[in-house]
Amino acid sequence: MIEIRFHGMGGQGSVMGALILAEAAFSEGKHAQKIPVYGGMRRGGDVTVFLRLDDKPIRRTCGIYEPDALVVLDPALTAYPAVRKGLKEGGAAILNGEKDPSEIDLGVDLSTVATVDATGVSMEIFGARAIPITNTTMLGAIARATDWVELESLFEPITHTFPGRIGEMNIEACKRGYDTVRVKGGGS
Amino acid sequence: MLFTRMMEGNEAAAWGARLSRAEVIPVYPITPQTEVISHIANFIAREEMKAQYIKVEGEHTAMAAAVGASTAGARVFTASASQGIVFMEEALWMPPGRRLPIVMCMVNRSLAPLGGLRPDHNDSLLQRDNGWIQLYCENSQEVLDTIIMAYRIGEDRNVYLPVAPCYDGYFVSATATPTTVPDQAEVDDFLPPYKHEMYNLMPEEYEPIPFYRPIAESRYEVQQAHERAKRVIEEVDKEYERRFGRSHDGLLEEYACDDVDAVLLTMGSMTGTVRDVVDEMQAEGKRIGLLKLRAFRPFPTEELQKLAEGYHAIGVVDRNTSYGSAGGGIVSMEVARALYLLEEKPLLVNFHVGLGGSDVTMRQVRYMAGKTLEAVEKGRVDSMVDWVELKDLGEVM
Repeated sequence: MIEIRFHGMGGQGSVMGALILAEAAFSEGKHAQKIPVYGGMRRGGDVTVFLRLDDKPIRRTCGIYEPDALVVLDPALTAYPAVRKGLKEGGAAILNGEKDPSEIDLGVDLSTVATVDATGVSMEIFGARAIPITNTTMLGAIARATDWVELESLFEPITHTFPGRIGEMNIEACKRGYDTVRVKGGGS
Repeated sequence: MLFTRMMEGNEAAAWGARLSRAEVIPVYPITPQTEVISHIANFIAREEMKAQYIKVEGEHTAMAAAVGASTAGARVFTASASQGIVFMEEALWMPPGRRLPIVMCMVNRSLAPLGGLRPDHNDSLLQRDNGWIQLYCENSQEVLDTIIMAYRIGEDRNVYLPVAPCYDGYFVSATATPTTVPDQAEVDDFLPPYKHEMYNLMPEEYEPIPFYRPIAESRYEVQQAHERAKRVIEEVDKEYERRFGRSHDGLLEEYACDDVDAVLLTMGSMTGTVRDVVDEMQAEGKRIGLLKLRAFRPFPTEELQKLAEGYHAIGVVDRNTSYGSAGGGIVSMEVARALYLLEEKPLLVNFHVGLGGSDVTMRQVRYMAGKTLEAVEKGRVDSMVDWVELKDLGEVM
């Protein structure tokens, strides 16, 4: 089982991003489970999502305290100890940010560190927003940096979630994430 | 139809109502139930579901409208949570006494004050005395299946009672897991249209206020209906398994209980976590199993008694509080009453955990399993109830 923890702010699409990733993994024959944790549904509020992927049905419904991987949708969040807490040695981190992976230190040795300027991609594709939408760019980066899902598997759930023009923009963001992510270690 | 995809518990509930062909849906939104009724509204707007959707000004009215519609002979579905359930309380006593098989999802969420939006079971357990059948579900699939079964159970002529499928907010309501949506024709075959045989809006004989008929008689009828419902719940589950290939073990599920010394007894979403911990601990040679209480009302006294003889201790996990109670949580007191009649009783260990919606973690489950096994070893129980979350188990978030 792979246990992944997403951190983001309300409006960035953490919950939807994790669901799309779960759907993509499920379409590849894996089992998946997405548990979101937030208070009131509001923009800017803190959002944590627990995502599990496995070859067999997933039963536990508890939170993830020692994740195999972190996905952080906002550059400002990476610095917080609560976000890095429990990340397993040898794990993976896929982060939104302009830094090179070699500059990232989360306090443990990781097998994979990946960074992508998802905020920049979001500004270009979706325009300037108080809370940039970074989820689909992060998904593209994940497809490149990990072996969780293939890039192509993400397209159907994205299109299904965002029909029409919005879907095309999100697929564009996803591809840009895939193309521009910088990866140290890991990769597929 | 018949497809399987990632689905949140609330969407699964909406599918359950749609496939059951609920005809009247009086609703008022409340977190974490809201997606149930927004999915249903979408089904109706897209003409995929034919139902009267009644937006009301509050939960009390939602239940009053449900009572009216059910009395008129419609199949009724609604859903609420937490303060919403408490607010409809006065109207919730009507359907059991009037023998109306309304189905209402209770999406568990802790109560004020200091309650967050996440679940404990005090909201639904507060309704334990009013005659509703309560079935606690573990994941999206069980929610969907249980709603369809709920109509079969409630509308059974030996039962005629309202049914509440209960499931935890967030850990089930917003948690997506692979869920199979059965074929409409197969559900139609399993669940024929609702036709109430008992209630008649225009009785042939006029009866004045029944001062001559003891009220106790009608109360006793509801009690008898609960007794009969036990068999019906088991039978409906078996038939569902024959037709759809999935069982949720009726009243009570024994999981990995061969050759164990003790069990943890759970309700709702925590059950999945306990399954994983039980497997881990058994691999380490620990003799702990799991009892999942699916039906809280009717309470499966005889079934529990039968199983309990095989254990030296039962650790009841109460995701609720009953301040100043005879001892511990609400479920533990029910279990104690059921076991009291046994000559050889297992030890009863009790835990409070997951209160106000906090997570029930693997480490906490391991602690509770360990304490229950420790009671077996010592031959006694140290305290009436153990407030697990007040212990430092070295895991916070």
